[in-house]
Amino acid sequence: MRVTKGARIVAGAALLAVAVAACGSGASGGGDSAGGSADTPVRMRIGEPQELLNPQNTTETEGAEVLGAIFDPLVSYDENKQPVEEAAESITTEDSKVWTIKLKSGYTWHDGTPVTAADYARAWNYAALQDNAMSSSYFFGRIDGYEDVHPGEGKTPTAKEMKGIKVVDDQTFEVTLSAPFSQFKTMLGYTAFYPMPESAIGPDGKVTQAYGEKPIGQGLFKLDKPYKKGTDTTLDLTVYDKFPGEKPKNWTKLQFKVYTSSETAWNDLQADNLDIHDQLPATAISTAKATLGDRYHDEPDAAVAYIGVPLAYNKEFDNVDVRKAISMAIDRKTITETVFSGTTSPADDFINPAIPGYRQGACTACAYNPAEAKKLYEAAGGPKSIELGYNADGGHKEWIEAVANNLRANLGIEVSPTPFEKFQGILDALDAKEYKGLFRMGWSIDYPSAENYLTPIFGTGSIGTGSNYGGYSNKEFDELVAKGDQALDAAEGLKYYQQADDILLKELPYIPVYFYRAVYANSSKVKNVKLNLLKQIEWADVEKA
Amino acid sequence: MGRYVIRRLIQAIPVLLGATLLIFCIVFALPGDPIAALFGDKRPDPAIAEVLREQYHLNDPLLLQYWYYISGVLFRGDFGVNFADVPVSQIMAGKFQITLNLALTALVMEAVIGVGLGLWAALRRGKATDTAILASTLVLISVPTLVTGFVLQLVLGVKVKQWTGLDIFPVAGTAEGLRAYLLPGFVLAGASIAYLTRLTRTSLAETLRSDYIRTATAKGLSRRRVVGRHGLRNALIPLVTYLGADLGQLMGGAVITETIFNLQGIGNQLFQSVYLREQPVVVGIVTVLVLIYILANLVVDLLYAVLDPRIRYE
Amino acid sequence: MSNPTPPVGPGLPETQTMVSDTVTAPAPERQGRHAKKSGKPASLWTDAWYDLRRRPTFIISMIIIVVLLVMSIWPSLFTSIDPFNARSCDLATARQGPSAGHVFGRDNLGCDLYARTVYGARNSIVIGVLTTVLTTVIGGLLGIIAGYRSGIVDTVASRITEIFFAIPSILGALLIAATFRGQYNSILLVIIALSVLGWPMVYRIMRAAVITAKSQDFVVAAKALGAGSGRIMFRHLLPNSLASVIVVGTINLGNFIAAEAALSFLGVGVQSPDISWGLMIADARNRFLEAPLPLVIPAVFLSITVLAFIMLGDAVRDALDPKLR
Repeated sequence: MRVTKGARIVAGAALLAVAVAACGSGASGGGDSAGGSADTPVRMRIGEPQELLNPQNTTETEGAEVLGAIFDPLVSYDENKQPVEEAAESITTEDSKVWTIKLKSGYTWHDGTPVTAADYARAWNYAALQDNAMSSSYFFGRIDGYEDVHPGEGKTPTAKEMKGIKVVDDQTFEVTLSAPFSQFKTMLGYTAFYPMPESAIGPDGKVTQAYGEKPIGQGLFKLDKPYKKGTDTTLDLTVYDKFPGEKPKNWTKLQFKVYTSSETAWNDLQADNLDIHDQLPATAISTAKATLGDRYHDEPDAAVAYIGVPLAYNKEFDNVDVRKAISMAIDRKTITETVFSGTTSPADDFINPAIPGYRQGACTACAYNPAEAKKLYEAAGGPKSIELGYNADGGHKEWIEAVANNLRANLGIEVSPTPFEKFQGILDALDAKEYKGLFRMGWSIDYPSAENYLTPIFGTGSIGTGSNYGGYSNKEFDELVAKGDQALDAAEGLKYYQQADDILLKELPYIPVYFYRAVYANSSKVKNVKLNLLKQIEWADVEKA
Repeated sequence: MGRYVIRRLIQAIPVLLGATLLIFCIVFALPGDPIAALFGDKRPDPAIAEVLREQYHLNDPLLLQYWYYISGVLFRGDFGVNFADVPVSQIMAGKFQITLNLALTALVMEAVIGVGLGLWAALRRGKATDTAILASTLVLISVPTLVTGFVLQLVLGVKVKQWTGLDIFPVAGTAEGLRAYLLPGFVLAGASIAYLTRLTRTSLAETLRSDYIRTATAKGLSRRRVVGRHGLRNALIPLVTYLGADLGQLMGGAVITETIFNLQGIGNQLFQSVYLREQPVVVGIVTVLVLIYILANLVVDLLYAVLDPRIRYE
Repeated sequence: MSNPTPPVGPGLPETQTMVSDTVTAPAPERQGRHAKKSGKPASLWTDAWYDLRRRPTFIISMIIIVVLLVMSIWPSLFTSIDPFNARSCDLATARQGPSAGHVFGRDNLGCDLYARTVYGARNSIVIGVLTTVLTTVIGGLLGIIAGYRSGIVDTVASRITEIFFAIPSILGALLIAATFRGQYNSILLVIIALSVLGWPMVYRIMRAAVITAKSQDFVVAAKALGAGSGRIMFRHLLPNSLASVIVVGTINLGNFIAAEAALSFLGVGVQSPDISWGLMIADARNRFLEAPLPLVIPAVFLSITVLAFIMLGDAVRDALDPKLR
């Protein structure tokens, strides 16, 4: 998933933040200052959703946050980070290949009609069909028949629906995968797998504009009025009476406030004009820690930042010692403390601490050791000058410059940080053989499984179509991942995934630099604010103070 | 008069077409695929990118794309949609409001402070006050918006509040309503205030030297009446035209101020859209700005005739 | 009277940073202390020089400019720290205040602020000077041709200029710089972006000056004697129109330096590892409240530089062209 860090996505370093806003106004937006009443909404910060609100076309965090309130996923995640049935009654399989999904009864769409298995089939088929150009289509790539509806560039789909999805009855459907995948159930909590009501589709067979502005969901909240993107600065929602699941105890109204600067939002939170801020800016951390007490939360977030190595494009990095030396020359601790003020932590594994399977300190070459790094680098004959590419639109400049300084000082080489307009620019330049330097890369999970840190980024099958941008390929690694995929239960799968992880740790195809952290806060008017594994708020738990 | 307006508007057509085509070409040349920009850090699925490109006519030749665009604007008043299918006019409406608020605040400040200071300097010509005012206009012209913006934000917005506890100037954003525009409005107006001061000073000083003023003084009219009734009125012409033309300038030149004070106006929007490769939004905003420029110039020329009865347009 | 040319100048089309009041100020006839003897350029220049030497603004601005020039040619004279050497930076000391050896403290990456600011002077000066030269040459040439030729050439050239005027220059420059970013050297790109939208102003000044000069007796005489177009334009019209162009050029120089900082601030100007004041301001802004110095120091240097050039322009204008005062 793409991390749309509020203002960060918008426009590069310059727009990054109005630091000053942190000290800005106090008394704004008055009127609803009386806490406790059931009618004043709980207010949460979001960045502007990038697309219209269509779950099948939302692959970024801000839109997903809103949709997460309007829809109820098939599975949610328990305290052990394992998937548990939510809108589903049961999700069963015998061979990790054919999955039977039974729906809970009692769910209705916000217009009152019942939710059926066909609504899920409709959503998934719609998302997968190439002609619909839904950004989430790749999520369905493991379902049997995906190639027929999504044959690739320049080819016309031979079917409208995937043969792997079979509606058994109103409450049951069966999904057949093209190959066994033990983590399939874990995937189902994601936005792309939400159902779609029949009314969403217009006469032309496409999702209507009206649905995109005011999606009809089956979740806890319904949207009060259509959201006019670009004009509206709030999205107002009300609890849906007929929602069969757990509801908030003492409140019914939810408001998402659209902010372009997370500093401004932080400022509003301090003034009690905002109740939940899920992405505190680095500039706010020290104040937040000191003043908020238990209203300040700091947890691992499932995203990882790497320095990518263009193995398939540049022979100079072939020697593993070169990669190790570079890794050891990076002072991760100072970078996370100074550049990020603790909103990130030093990376020490390829699997993130937020996800089962992480092992602390697993990456020995991630420990800062400049002396050893220099020795190793010289012995291995690493390149005398290297480029370090990054996309200028994501606020990465400062830490990349810091890494460059580390490498210059510790390895005695020339390093040129190279800004690219967009991340895509780096990939294009690599493909065109115009660029063969290192590059910055970030990964935020699509579903909370260790597997998601392996296959999409390092699997041989992900070269070209997936996110394996460096072109790393290792047969042993692929086999171990496949074994994990075919395992009959998640725990057994994890064992193989960790073995695959061991290979990465040994070979360092990418250099992990830092793990993101979820640093968030709530106002004194609400309590029990928790983020789930997908970084969405568990609304039913939130209480007004 | 009517014929003159029509002729001016006809003359404006090639300018409008030329400017939009120029922008269209530049935006078309923007490197990077606008479709890829939608996918952030992920490589877009080529099949999907292809479908989207087709949908937004991105595979068509430049001139055909321009035709789709300009015909929509001219015949249907439709500025198209961005790559998330949101109408560009909907995006622009809110942003223009904010920029207009900002520009009008700046304009009022310009008029009040600029004319006031200029008047003062003209009446004290050659004295210490005059020199001081002239020197400060020089500083105002020289110090870039980038610097005045941050410095005033820090001093007036942050420090004053820390020292006095009074929240006079909101630091950023527009949550406080019109009050929020005071500080950015002044920053934006900065150089214009200085120019207007100088313009008022020279214009008034020159008027005050003319014969009819001497006559008025000789007639025994009070100095107040001479300056107010005769001097200022005639000195006003260049000032009004300057202000008229400046409105368009303030709207188009506000990007730095908007960025510093986090105002979500058109400058900011254009800046973001350039990064996101949202061609329809970029072209839409520039088209409207060009229109404003053309209309402002026309209005200024017409104002001329109103203020100076000697000028007649056929 | 039909379609009058407003005496306040042709429409005031520049953005804030690029406005020059030579264009906007009305031109009241005022008898200067050194009334120029028209037709003899030599005496105009001598006269101007005599006038300039006695102006305090000229002396102050020249001192600042000379210091800046030396700073941009030999920055190592001003600081012993080489900001391009990574070892001079220490991330752990980021944002530390002034200390011995680091007069202004350190920036967000723990690099010495003073050294970076000193090394930043070069790009500002280079961009200011080269952009001024480029806009003056392009705008001047077109202006002289359009002014001399009049008719269809003038109409076409003026319409084209109008198009460029209609596009807000900072936004236009932003667009151009963003478009070709990464394909060219970032400093060259800034110069091009600023020039593309900066020349029309010079064009207008030049054209107006040429039209005035054209009707003067000596030009008419030269024509009557059979002088060619090229000779008339460059031997007669150019020297007589130069004064106002030089004035605009000097003032523009300061404005271009400010515009460079604006573009760099917006992320499309000078790119790291090159140093520019605008870039330093942009990099410092996130932590502006925790540590104001990394933003304030380059901002002060920038302001002083722009002030010096604009003061110089002001003084040169007063000396060369008393009418425009």
